[in-house]
Amino acid sequence: MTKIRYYLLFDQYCSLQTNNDDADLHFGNIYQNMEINQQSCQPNWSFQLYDQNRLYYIFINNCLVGEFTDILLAIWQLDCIIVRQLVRNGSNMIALHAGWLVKDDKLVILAGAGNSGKSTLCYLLTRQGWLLGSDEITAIDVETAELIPFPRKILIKPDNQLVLRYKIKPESQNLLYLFDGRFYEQCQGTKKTNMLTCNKVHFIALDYQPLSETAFSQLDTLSALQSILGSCVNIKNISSYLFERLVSLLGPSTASHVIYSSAENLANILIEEKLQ
Amino acid sequence: MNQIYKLKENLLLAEKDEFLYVLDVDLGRVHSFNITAKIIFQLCMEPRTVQEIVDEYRSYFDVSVAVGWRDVNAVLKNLSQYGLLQQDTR
Repeated sequence: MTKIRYYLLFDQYCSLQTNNDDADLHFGNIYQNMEINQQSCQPNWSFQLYDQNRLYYIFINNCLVGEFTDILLAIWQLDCIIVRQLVRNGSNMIALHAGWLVKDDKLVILAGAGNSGKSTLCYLLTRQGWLLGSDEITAIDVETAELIPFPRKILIKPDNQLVLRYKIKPESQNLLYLFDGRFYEQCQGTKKTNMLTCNKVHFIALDYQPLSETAFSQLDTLSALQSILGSCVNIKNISSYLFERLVSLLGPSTASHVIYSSAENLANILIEEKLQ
Repeated sequence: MNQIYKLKENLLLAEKDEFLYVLDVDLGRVHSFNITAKIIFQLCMEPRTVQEIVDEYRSYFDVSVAVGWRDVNAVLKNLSQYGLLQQDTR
């Protein structure tokens, strides 16, 4: 039986339709913060995963984009496809490879390459009351400078020390635990947040270096801009308004680079000192 | 024929603390220019020859002809290296 769920992802209405119960369970679980009950208008994007005699087909708006013989691979691919499609086609936003969280009127953006520890730090900060915008993508509305949340469950890789430290267990709905041993952790999400109305904004470029001491250095405006926009997926969408706001916002008092090796140590420093 | 210089298209500009920040939207690169370079950069918003840029620049900073040429050429060389200039002839 085909099941359909509706989501609001990056301000775009999406439907996710599948006749595979495992896939439905999985996406219903990791996207639960963004599921919407009623679909009042036509979805901008229709994602479909169809199981036909153990061949798995992925469609976007009824166009075939992938064919798989393994359901786990198909689920993993569909998750990547959804994010990539929405980020690249969000006409009114830019997307940075960065996580972000808010607490009260404070905003922190954590930028870094893959495996720089964004998700780990997001998880640790949410344990201290910070609300998750996203652990991976910072989408910014180019007209309003609002950050658009994408509070998917946080992905924790199997070799992450947090797994033992916090006794993280695989959920039964998490099929990708069987794929690559990953875990997902639910965190409380936040609403849209305007970076211009936050009382304090912190931009932190993460630089994970094994065995290093934690060391912060301030970033000047140019370095901060290069760091934040260097990871931008769809920079052609940026507006003069947003660029001017970023220039005025970013500088030594708001932007820093940190070398670290222990995420827990860094999280403690952030919570006790830097994000106060 | 004189070489004329003009900024390429798709640049976003913002000023802060006497610096000019420029985003090259096509390439996703950000540059910053100090007050000297900022003036020369802004003079390139309209098509101009080097001589015209030097003349305008000297009217801002009251420097000698030699210094004017030196500064303008240095900045134009940088702007060219960054790919921020279009060149044509008049």
